[in-house]
Amino acid sequence: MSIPLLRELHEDMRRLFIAGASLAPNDLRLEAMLPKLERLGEAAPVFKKVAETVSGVLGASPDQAATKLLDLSVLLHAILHTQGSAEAAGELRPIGLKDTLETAPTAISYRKLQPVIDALTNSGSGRLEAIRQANADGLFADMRTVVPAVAALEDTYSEIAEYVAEEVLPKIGQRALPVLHASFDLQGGSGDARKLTAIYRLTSKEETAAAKELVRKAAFEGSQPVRIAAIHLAANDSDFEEKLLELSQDRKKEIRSAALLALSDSDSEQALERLMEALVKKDTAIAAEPIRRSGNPKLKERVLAFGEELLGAMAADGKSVSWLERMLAVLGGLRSPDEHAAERDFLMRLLNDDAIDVTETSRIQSEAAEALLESGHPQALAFLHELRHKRPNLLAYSFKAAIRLEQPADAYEAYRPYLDDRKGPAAKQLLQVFHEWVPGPLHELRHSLENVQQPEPSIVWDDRWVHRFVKMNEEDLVARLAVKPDKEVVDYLFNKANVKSNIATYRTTTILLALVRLGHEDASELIMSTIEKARPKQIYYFEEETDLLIASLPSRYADRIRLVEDRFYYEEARNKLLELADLVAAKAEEDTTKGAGLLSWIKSKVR
Amino acid sequence: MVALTEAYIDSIALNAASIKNGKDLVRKNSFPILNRTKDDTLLFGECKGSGKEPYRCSADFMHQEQPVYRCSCPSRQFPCKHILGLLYAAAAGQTFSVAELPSDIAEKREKAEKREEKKKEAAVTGDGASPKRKVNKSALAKKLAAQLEGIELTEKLLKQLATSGLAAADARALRQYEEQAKQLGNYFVPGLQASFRELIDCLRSEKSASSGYVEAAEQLTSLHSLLKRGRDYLTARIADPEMAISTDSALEEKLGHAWQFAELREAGQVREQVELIQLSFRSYSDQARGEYVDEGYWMQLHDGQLVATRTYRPFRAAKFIKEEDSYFHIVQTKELAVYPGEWNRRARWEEMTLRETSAADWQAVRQHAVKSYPDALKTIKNVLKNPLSDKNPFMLLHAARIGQTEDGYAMEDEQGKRIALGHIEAIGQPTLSFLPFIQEGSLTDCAVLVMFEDRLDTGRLQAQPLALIAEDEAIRLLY
Repeated sequence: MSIPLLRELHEDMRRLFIAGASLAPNDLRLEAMLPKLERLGEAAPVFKKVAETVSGVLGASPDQAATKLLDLSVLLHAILHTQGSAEAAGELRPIGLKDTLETAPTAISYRKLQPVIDALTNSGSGRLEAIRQANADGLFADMRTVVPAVAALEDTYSEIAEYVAEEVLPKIGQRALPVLHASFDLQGGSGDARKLTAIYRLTSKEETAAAKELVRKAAFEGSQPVRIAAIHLAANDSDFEEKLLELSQDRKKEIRSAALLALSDSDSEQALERLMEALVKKDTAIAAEPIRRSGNPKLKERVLAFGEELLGAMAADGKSVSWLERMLAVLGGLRSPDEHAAERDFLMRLLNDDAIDVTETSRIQSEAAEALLESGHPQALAFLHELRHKRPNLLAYSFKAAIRLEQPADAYEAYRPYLDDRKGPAAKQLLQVFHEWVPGPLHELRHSLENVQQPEPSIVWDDRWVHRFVKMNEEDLVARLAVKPDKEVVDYLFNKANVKSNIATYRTTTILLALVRLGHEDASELIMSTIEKARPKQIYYFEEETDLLIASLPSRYADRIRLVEDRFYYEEARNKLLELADLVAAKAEEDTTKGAGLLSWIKSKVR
Repeated sequence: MVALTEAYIDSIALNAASIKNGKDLVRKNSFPILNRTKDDTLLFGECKGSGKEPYRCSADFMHQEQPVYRCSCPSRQFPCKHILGLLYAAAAGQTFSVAELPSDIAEKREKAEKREEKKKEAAVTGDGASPKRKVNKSALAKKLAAQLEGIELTEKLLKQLATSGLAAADARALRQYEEQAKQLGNYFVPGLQASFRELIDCLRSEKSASSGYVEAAEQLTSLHSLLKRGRDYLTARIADPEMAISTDSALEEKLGHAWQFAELREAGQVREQVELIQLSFRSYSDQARGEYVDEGYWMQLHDGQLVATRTYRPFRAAKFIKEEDSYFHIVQTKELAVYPGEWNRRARWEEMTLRETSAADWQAVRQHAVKSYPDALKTIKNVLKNPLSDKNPFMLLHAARIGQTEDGYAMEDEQGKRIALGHIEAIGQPTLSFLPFIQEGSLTDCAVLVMFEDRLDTGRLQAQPLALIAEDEAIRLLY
């Protein structure tokens, strides 16, 4: 049979369908084909039929052309569908896994598997949660998840890409390697950087050489994100140090930065030399971090010497700013937990030096003060405390040092006078320290709810501070510092709670929580009435702190909470109120726990 | 009481979301009351809802093979999350305190028993066989006439489209066709309407112009022959009112007839005592029909015939219809109704029980795999040439080995004849990429379920593997 001719005819026919069957009756190509078909038809009846149908199309009236062409199409399709080729020539090479790895199971049902694959390959919200759940359920043992998981490394939602790289791929293990290799693109984006990392981590010990080779190649020839990932991977490879030194001179700053960081793991003379060179010469800004990370004592020594040199230059020429950046880098590089006397001495001299006490150096001074404070060394703290007379711009550091070093009463005595001019820069600095270091009742509670370590060691404040703030009308600080049921403080807060109270604001909830903590007898009534005053559409849902406030109410309030539920407009808020009403109702009436005890009770109930 | 396992409860849930919601209720301790009767035939409890009153839900195991679930919530999903939650709580081993049988459930049980008795009585008094359904002749004549009209309307639209040319069908023209397709809804030909919509969708997709309208031309052609055959068939039925509904081809279903189980039984399309094993499964959305389609690919264990199950879930009601799932058990059914059709016929059952799959079952499946590729291709081509038959037939083939050539993956039979493996449009999901994850041993001397697609533009008959049957297990490449 002459199939190519029929295929040609089929093409022509499709062309006519596209252009319109009305053109078919006069089509030159069809006309030219007809005699050939007729000739073939003499031997094969199929062609005769085709020839007849074609001539039917050619002779059709414009009205009938479409029907005739469709008839021809039906005939041609029926013939051509018997002619499809399924051939596969050439050598057939095996593709399966060798004995070392077993076929992964595929016994996870559609309804379980499909949502994960969707989450890995589509876009939209709630995907990370689905992937986490699937991981917890062990779905990634199924081989059908491998390809989507590797694809997810390129997800534009980087949390998903990171999660898959960190948590999922290690579980899939070496099975992922062929897919990773097949889809890895040296010139690709951050997804390919993740793939390179995964390849390096998953490759078995026997084949590390190949993986290392790939990493080395990627470090030079890849796209920027791929190169940076490769440089990070090469950090511990001592054979690669030569190349890292070379890369630390790269044209691109990002590459130099990554290479310097990788070099910080090394203690070799060349590496130290290079880091020093970067600091002194043009790469000052990116050298600080690697130097800090290195922790090599020899390097520190040299950095310190360079710092002294700069200090000398600065003292000589206070107005020039050319040394500013380098000095910042030196200070950044010196910041590490195990500072010793020489560095401390250097920092103190820097702060003490009147020759360089100009506006331009304020950042350097802050950095140095911060570093001293961080060291926590008694000598450093005492120095900072004393500095309050000489450097008013660093008063916050002095105060922080004093809080750590001195008795609460002494700290109060020493720093209270700075609050006298409450609008002055000194007072501002002190208030800022309070805001920074005194956690609110809310903050405290949330940290203990989430079992997070307190950010700062708890500080004992002198009782006089809170009274001072009452006088200054700093209501937030009073609410934060009020821990003892002192009448003046309690009255102040109670009055404040009645001014412009609004359950949806941070201010009101903080004050109310403070009153609860102080065990104020009217706190419950106040909370209830504040909720009853809230505008119906104001609240979509209750914040965690509001939940806590409501949960703190005694059981007799349960009915009032249920009553107030109707007033709110949004479903979410209403449901929450009902839930809280149940919680409150379940309390024993005699449960009169107050203050901190109550907060821990709430904590046990709300979660 | 039946052994309540989480897998069992999963299987009665409508979809994955309701599984999650049910489990969440247990996790959130939303059941203040969990009760069971002394004889363990009833689990009941109360579940907190958004309203003031809790929902009362129960699971009645009076008849173990047919548990009855009840809930006072207004959800249209059934079983609702409250019932599922109650069952999950039981499966998780939560304490259910013994309580009296609630009076309302006792009442309902009584009523159900009476119904049962009545049914039995009717069965005894009647002659056993259900009476043949009467056909309202004048109504049928009207319907057939309307269907014929529908065919004529479609013919007109098709002719108009072909005459002016596919390229001329711009967005505006397509909107008009869409309008007219809506009107086809008045002629009892939903199948035809869906086919025509598929053609419009095909023209609308950006792909069609760039791929030279291959699919559109194919769709146009098969629609044309469907219209022709449909016209002949309907004309014959109008002329002879006694003529029975056609069962020798899928024509009726293609026009849009929804076969009922009883109808199929009457037409002698029921096979008795069948065991089915699922080889593969998928679910896709059919935009033209506006429905999700859950499609299972099965083998009848006794004779190796392949059938397909299809559950259609209209987009708008998808939440309330059970989303089917992969089966890993053998389905045993007393009656399997098989739809008229040529090759992989559609099948369904009303009642079934499940049994564990054994290695012997997989052996049986492998026995039925077609060994000679030339024979297989001949069969498939014969199916493909019929314009009314399925464009994507599937078949279980034996493979001596599966491997890779220069041009891609391929499988080889014992005579060294080959079939190239590739991706097909109908599946739209890669399965070939899994082959390298399978042990070499499982890629030799195995059975492969493949689906075919014949591309007229390239002249290639593509086969995509959906599942692989190794020694004693199935490796599912799809779902």
